[in-house]
Amino acid sequence: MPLNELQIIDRLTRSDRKRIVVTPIIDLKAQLGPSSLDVRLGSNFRIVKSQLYTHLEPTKPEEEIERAVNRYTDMITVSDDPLEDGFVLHPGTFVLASTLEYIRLPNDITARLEGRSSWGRIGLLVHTTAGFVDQGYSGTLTFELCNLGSIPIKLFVGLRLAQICFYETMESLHPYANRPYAKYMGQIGPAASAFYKDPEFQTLRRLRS
Amino acid sequence: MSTALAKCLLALLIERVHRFQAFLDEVSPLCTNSELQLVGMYEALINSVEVEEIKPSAVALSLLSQGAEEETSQDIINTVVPMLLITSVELDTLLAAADVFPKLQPRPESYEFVKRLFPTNVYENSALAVVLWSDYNFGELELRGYIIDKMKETIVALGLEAAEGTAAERRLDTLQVKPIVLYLAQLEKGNPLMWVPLAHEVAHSIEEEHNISAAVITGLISKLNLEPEEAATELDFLKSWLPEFISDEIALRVLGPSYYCAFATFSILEPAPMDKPSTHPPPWNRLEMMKQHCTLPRTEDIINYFAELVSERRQWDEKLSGSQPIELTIVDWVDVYNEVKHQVETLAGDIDGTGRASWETSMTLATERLRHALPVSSSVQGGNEQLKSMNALVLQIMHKVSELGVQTAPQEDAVVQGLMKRLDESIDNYRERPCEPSEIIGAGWIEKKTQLEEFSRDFLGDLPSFTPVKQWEVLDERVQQWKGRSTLIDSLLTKSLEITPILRLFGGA
Repeated sequence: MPLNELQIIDRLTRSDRKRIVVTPIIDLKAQLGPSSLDVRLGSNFRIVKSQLYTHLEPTKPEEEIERAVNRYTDMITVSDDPLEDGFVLHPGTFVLASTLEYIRLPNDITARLEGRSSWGRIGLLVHTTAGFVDQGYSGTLTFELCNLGSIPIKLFVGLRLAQICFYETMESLHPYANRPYAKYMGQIGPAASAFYKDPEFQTLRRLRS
Repeated sequence: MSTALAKCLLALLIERVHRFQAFLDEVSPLCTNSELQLVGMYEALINSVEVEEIKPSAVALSLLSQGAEEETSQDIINTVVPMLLITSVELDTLLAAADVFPKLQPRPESYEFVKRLFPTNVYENSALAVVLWSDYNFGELELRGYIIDKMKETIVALGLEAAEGTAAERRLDTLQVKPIVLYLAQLEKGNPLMWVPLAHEVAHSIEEEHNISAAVITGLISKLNLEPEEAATELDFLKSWLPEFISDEIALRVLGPSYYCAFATFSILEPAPMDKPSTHPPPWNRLEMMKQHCTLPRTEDIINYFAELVSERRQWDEKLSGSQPIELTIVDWVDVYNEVKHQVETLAGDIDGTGRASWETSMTLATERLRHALPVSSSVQGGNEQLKSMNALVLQIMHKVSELGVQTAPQEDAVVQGLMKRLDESIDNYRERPCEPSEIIGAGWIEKKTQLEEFSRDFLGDLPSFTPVKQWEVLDERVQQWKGRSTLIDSLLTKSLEITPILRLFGGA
């Protein structure tokens, strides 16, 4: 069951290790829903330059594939000046972005990133599959933005693009922060995928070498 | 004190190697195949510096923690410190030669940092740009000369400038804005703590516009009743250094102790010019002036920490170079410092950055947020008291609801409704104040000082108790941890600088 607004405020204002940190909260009244907290769009976008590669070969050495991943994506920063242009997401396009907010979950809270109805109605997906946040995670949340609609969507930094729902669990024995493959811990922007760091690929590389 | 300098140098050099590696990682996706071979060569060189110089120095230094004989300790210090100083120069040389790689772009947050430090009128009719530079030569680019050099033929062809003529004739009259183009060392691209020198460079343009150097000279002659002829020689050479002192004073006023800390860190790592013909005054004099003028409450601790390290570095530089401190004969350094301060105070309207910032806030942010690995973009108005009071209301409501044995806050219960009303008011009044860049960077320097102290205390202490093989393993692990801490503080400060303008925009501040 998701936390309701009272439970969310309780968690946001506690001073012990069960505190949920979401910073900054620019307008608590506007952001707080009955069982969710709205989050905003940060200023960095990671786009794919697909013309450079036919595919990513995950069984190549880790450094090589990391270099390739960095090479086929570009980081774009959108100005926070409202008089300047925002980021135009064209139909069918997929980009990574991140929350403006930095989030830290205690070891007994998981979260889900969800879209907001107003954006959903014009075809904006805020995540394509990975909306779940583990207990103990710290960092910004990544948006996997995709425009499923038929008209381009113009996005500005600071817009309330999504909402987070929090769920209380038993305290995790292995929170995200302590996991050996916590690839995105502490990220502050839309980091590129590090799928090739999964141990399965290490096994495949070993077998193929 | 010598071990403290050696440990600090060690920590800073590990960080610099880390930044070098990060730079190569970032630049390599932009490289052509032939440039990638160079990247590989650089990676090997950087790795050898770490393995053959930095880590052996660490092991040698760790012996000191074992309570070795004083004489032996001094021997080690005599070996280790010069070795670390040489390593620093080697890294600088490598960096200067790294100019062959593709150019990276500065982070947009560095503009937020510079622009917000000074009032908007400083940038009126000017164009501000930050360019990354290959070495640590922070400075202000002379754009006109740069353009002419790069576009000479085009400029002449367009008739904007004659190929020959006096400097006055060769004015680029079409340039209506005042360019302020600042160099930033490319290794420091992602390190907001070292964006601090950019404030000094902006200060140069303020100092030039108001002709403060001339005012300082006039003031000195008047206050000390000097005959201009009598003071000519000394004032003449001092004149070329005054813009640096004045820009330091301005940067100190807008940034507070952070400017001192950044400059001191730079001075601990870099060899300093020690003689009169240099274009810049010796760092010792500049730091001495700043130390005297940084009188904000509760800053002695951080200033003294860096001052002691700088003093130690100065002794080593004097020992290695055989140079002596520069003495003035007619005027006293203190007179110079005081006159600089006096003249800069006349600029208050142009440099009121510190009026918006508070060192107290930096201290709170450092201990309550950065220490716990959280960004320092804002502070809750009312602080922890506000949060406690909201939490108390929530708990009271939850308790009452539980007592009543219902699932939700009942409409008919007056107590619950009263509490809900107060909570709604608290939610209405909940505000986060966006922090100023100087507060953010100040928090960063406070945390950096704490980290350096921890490094000095914990990094090497128990190393000698391990076998030599294990020593190396432990050292590897700790070097990685130290690099990780450096990355974390960079990220959190950068994120904080990204957030603040958006918070200001939507938060109505």
